[in-house]
Amino acid sequence: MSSTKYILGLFDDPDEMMHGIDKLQKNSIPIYDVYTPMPIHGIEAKLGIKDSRLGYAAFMFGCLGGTTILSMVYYFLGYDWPMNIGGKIHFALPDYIPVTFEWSVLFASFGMAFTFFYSTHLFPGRAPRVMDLRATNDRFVIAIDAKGNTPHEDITNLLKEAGAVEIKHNDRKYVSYE
Amino acid sequence: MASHKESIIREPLITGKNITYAQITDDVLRPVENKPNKAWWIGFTFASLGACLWVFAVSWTFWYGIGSWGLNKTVGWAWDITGFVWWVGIGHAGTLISAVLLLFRQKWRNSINRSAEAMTIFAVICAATYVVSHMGRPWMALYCLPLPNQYGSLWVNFNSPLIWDVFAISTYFSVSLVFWYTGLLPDIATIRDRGTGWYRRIYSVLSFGWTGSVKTWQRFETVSLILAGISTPLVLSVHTIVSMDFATSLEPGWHTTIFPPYFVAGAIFSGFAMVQTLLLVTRKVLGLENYITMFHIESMNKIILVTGSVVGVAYITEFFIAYYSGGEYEQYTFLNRFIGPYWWAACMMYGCNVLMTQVMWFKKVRTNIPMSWVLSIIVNIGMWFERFVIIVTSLHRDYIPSSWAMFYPTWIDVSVFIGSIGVFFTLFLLFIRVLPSIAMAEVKLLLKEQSEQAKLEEIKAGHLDPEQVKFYKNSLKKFDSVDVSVYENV
Amino acid sequence: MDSNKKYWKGLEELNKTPEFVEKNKHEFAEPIPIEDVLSGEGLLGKTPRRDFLKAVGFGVGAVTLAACQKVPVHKSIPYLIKPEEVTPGVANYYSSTYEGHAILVKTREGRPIKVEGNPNDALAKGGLSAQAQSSVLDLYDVSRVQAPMLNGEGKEWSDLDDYVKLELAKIKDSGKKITIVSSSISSPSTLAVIADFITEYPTAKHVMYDAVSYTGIIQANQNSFGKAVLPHYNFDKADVIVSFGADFLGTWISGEEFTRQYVSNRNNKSLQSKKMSRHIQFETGMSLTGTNADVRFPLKPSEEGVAIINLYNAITGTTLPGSKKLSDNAANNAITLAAKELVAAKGKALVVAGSNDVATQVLVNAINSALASYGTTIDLDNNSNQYKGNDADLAEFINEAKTGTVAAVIFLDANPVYDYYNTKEITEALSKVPLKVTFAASLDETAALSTAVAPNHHYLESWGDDSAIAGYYTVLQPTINPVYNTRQAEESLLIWSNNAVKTYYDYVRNNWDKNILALGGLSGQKGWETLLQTGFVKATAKPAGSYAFSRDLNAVAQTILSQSTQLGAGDDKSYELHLYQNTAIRDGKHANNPWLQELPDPVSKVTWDNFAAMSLTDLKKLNLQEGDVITIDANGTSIALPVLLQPGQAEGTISVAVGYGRVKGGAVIESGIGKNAYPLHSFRNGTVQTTAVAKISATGDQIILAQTQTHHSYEGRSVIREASFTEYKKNPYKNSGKDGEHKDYKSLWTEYDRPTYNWVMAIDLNACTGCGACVVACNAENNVPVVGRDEVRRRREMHWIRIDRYYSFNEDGKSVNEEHEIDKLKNVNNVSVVHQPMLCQHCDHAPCETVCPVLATVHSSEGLNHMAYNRCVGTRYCANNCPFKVRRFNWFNYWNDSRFENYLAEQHTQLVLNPDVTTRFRGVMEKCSMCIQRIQAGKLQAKIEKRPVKDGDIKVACQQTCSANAIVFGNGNDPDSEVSKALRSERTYYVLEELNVQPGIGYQVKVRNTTELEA
Repeated sequence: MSSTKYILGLFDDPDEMMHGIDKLQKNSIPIYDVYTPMPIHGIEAKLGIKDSRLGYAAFMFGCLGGTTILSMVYYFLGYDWPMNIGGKIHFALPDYIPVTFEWSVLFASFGMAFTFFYSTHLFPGRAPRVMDLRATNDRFVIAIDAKGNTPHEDITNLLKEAGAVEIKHNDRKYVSYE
Repeated sequence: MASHKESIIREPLITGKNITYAQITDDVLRPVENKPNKAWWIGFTFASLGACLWVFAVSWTFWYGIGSWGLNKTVGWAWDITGFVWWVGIGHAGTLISAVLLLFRQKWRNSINRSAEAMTIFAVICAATYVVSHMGRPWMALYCLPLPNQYGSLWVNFNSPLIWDVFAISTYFSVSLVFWYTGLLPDIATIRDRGTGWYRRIYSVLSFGWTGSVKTWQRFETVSLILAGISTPLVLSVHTIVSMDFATSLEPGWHTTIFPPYFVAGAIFSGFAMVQTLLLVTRKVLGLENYITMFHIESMNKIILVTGSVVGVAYITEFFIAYYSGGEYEQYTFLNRFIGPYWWAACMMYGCNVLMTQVMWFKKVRTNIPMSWVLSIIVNIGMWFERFVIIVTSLHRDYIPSSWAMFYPTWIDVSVFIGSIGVFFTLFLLFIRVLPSIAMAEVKLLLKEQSEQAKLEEIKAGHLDPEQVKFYKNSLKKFDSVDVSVYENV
Repeated sequence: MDSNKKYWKGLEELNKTPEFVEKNKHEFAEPIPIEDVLSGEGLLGKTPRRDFLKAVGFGVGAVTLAACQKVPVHKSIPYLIKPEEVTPGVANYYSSTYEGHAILVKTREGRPIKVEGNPNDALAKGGLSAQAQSSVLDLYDVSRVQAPMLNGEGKEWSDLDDYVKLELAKIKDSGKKITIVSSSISSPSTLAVIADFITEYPTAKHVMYDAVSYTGIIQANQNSFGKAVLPHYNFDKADVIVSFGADFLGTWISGEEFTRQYVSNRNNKSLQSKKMSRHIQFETGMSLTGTNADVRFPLKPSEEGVAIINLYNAITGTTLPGSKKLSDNAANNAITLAAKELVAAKGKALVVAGSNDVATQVLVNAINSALASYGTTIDLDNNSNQYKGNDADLAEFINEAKTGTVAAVIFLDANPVYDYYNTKEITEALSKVPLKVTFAASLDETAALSTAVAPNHHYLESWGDDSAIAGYYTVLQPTINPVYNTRQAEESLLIWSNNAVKTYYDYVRNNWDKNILALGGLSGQKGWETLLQTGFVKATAKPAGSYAFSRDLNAVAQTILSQSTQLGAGDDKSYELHLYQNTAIRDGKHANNPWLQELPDPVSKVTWDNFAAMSLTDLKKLNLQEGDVITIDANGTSIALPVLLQPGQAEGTISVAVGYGRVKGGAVIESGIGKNAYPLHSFRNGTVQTTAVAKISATGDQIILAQTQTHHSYEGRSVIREASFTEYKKNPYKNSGKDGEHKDYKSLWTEYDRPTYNWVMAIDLNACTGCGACVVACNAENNVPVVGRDEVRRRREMHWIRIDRYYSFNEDGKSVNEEHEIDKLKNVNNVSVVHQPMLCQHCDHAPCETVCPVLATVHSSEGLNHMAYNRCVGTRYCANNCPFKVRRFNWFNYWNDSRFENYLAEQHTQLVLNPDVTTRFRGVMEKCSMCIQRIQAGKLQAKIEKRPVKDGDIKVACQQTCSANAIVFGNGNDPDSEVSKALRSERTYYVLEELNVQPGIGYQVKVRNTTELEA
């Protein structure tokens, strides 16, 4: 048994990488993950990844923001200390639309962004789990967990046929930063 | 794969021969990964000198009081709010490019949105400095936030457009920041993975540990799309609210319902002009002609032309309504713009914004880099005068003739303004040194379909409508980064 | 019952082992070697760790404790033994007198902070001039002489007295002359003191003269009726008033009194009864009175006499020699018309002339006698004491002095070195007088040449009395202990004349007990105390006799004509110069008062400078711009002044204000303000004449005059609404916007109710003369800072109330008031003027409130627009959004910023501040508060007396000082209040009401008594 943990297929062209994915799937070889320097459309379908639900989050946060500010304003000017401002009524709703809108947007965007960071474990200083350094530059990397019972040579060959420019047998999961 | 072949008649968004993904990375990161060149140093010196001037002038103002500006009992706002609105306006282009053009699937935005967004953020910073420095008691600026206080608690006045401003500007700034930084993550990761030592460490921290796995990319795209979705109304709302500082007031010349759309158009107008000003220089200095192509330049010129004309229509409408309303004060104010003591400012405003930009109807002008640059400067000047005319010319002669007065700027007024420009450029020049000024990941998306070389391949491959090919070849003539000779033999 | 349990720390303590007892003596178990440590070798030798720790611990502890010490606090010490009449926070009012007006002095914690008119004052019924309002500031003026001086160095009073008495004694023996030179003195006691002095020193003589002289009138009355007095004029009895250059609403004799009289025939009440006096003014420069005239004609000085001759002829039907046509045809017709009207109003007519020329005044007397004015509109029997000066006397004194026969001169309230027309002569004369004593309060020009300065009290520190009109006596009582080491002039005189009565207080008491109290039916201590409360005594007036004029006028006419020809005899290069006093600075006595310097001149709106007023035609002719400096050369002296474009200025004339260009007497003066125009006067026919022939030439320099208003036409805006009296009689609603087309502006929201009070104001444009006393009153009441010339140039004056002055021109029957039309006018001489007091309107829908981000300005339940200074962050949005532009911003820290002519940088002067009103810091907005502190005080008073606030309890500062009662303030909720009545008037309109900001101040349409013929 070799010490190989992961097998990486490095492609220099997204289309060929897609071929590779098809080939592997045809041979029912499980794909651990794919790393690309840019978003590849249609890949999530291939790998059967569910649509993101961040939209709902955004909407919820938006509603929260709107209600928060509006109730604040009501408390301030309508309840806590009502005043005669230029003869206007205490709770002059039309005047409060701008701020309500602004805070809806504020909450929506921040809420969503932070949900995104949270769910994808992105935060300042997180050690990057990188399998190949060129995956953020010009390589399209298919990572296969070597622990499958498929012989590694077959996988290597499959990737070769698919047009991988390089195939790596990594003993470590991530390129460590020391 | 036929799926991502686009019609040949569309002009390429990336020019140059044998561009690879690696090539793009190298080109974009050249300024980040190497020592700055002479041009940068010269620019930076001047910019930072300007920034120092700003610090000096603002400190002077804080020390002696707003009296060191040229304002008086009649004209309570002048260069300060003029500068504020001008900067906010400029900021709008960034969001517009990154958000609205994304929604409209304008792929050409990919190579300019990064620097445009950066510009937004820096412009809003400059605007914000005015918000504070124009106050009589800036050390009390916190009173503008609804914080509990010793007045038991006295909250803020949500009827006041200035409070709307506080909320709008702060929201706009922070949302733009998030949008911009999220977009930066993959590129920072690229720098990280190419770098070594402390350099890598810093970018590693900044990259939030980006990997570029499928799920990340998928969420990333959702986030950008939704952020774009909500930034679009946001950007419109911000300048609407800024315009309400005037529109909701009582002053003749301010009290105008057309202001929101008119201001937004003006904002986009001045914003694109500023983007133009910056990018025309940047692409030369950083050698990014292949990514910011003549197509981009012309497209932006077209937008400037359109928004400029919109603004022009708004001007005319203003005058018509002033006449049509029959309100004597309104009528006088607009008459006063031309026959009053500030007629020259009005001339600058209408001349630069409406008349000059009309020459962009000519393709020769749109595709001429020096002229585009000069025009973009002219628009910036014109838009500054627009705000000056609206604010000062309206204030200096309003209802009660006995209070009519003139405004004369002091050297502090001038220094604060010039200084703010210095601050802006300092920030921008630092930005292009430390962060990729073009969104690499997004540009890479274009390589396979919208690049010149891809299209060249197609033509070589043949079976294309020769008419279209001919059209395409012609369209390439205007590009300064394409050598057309290649196409003769094919 | 306390427990006798014994608690012990340990067995040792319980059974008191010797070592425990020993140890227990010390604080620490083992001794601390502080000494070893601190003594030399201790410090040298290495400190043991534990000691080190101890030291550090102690050090840190000590330092911390030391740091807890507060910075020194300046404690204010409360009254230990409280004077019973002084309650901190409660104002006391003392009756006193200022220039013959009965006044009330408001004091707080024993310091006078405000002067108010006594409502029962016979002259102005509570009205006060700007000078009176500002006088309280002079009390705290640091540039006052703070101790007696001898030959320029400070001395004790005893030294001074010894010196002066010795000298006087010597002179008495030598039999040389002593002269007391003073301005007019109307105080009976002071006059008595001087009389006593003269009896002590028989060679002494009292010379009265006035910087701006009325000798002409006095002499004329002497010639005509054998009474060398200034008559008492009754403008309230006059239906037709014709004035030849007499500024009787401003600076002429008794402005405040005349204003009250004059307005009583033109205000709302009078109009309601369909009655309005008619006022025709002929004058050279535009005077305050001219701006209020129904019809006004520019008239060259050289033609004034001719005009009066023509008027006389037209009235009497005789023809005096040399009656000739005037150059201006309109003026000609006006004279004939005026004559008709005067004759028609016989017995109710009054003609006055400002000229100081005897002949002219004699002729005017003749006219008045022909109109049977004596006994009705002119009262020679209850004469005015306000001016008694005789120019000839001073001239004579100077001649004597030059011959060296005068050995001593004593200056009382006189500054001839500055205001005598011939400076060179008087300096020379004084140099020949060995003993020169002055009672000057500040080191003025005369004091600088004097040997001894015996600084006089400020009137607020003095005892005394006054009698502006025969039979009307007011008492002067001190309201504060002398601020400096000064002594009252009268007291000095008493001492120097070895008078039996030592203190002036006793002297006044005696004088009143003997002569005056009885006139008011008072007597004894009781009477005196009543007097101190009421402030005055009014004897029953003598019946005013009618005087018939019977003298040959031919000679008079000749003199007048010869003068006219002199004045007229100039080539085209020369102009007729006309010297006048402006309403703010007057004769220059108060030139050191920054409140007055910053009070805009009612006509030109210029502050901090005098100028040469010229007509548009002349400026065009010489192609001069406003602000160009010209030299004016007359009577052998010349001064350089900036030109001012003055609509209504007679063509070919220049008007220059006196009272400026002082060189000594205080910080403000020494900052250099204007040029001295006194030297341009000339001495003709026994009087100082205010007219001369002047040559002018441009110097090429430019000066920006500090004007508070630079646009002078109201552009036909409904801000100003006028009607002619005839129109008014036809339709009282005329032009008020209420006749038919007046809109009732609906509100979007349900209005807030004003449960108890709704403070509103009514301002009658027909009553307001624009004098500006309200501005100074407001400064004093509300601690409004002075900003100085440069800041005014930048249009940053801080006045909470301003008076807008608009010119409109009349051409063939219609009024022209729009800039572009005015430029096209052919004849720019027919000007009419309107004054509009403008202050915060306290709008119910205040635009400023809506836009303030921090709620620093909000509306009160009493209809006031509040301003919370300490909440304001200074965005200035409110000011921008104020359609009336009445909000004022503190651009700098005006209270203590050395860069401004700001008297309040001086800690001592700050005693004048009204403690009820906070001073505003840099960067905050301020504005009229409707004297909210007075409103609160009024409510408090009512509460103490357990009653609702009565109408008239509360008077705001501007209203209080207004002699014309143009401003009415009160509770709009009370339908019977004066203000409600005023606002119900048909003439009431609201400025910019079409904006529906719902202002709280209603204005009443200006009505002019013009006939179609000249309108």
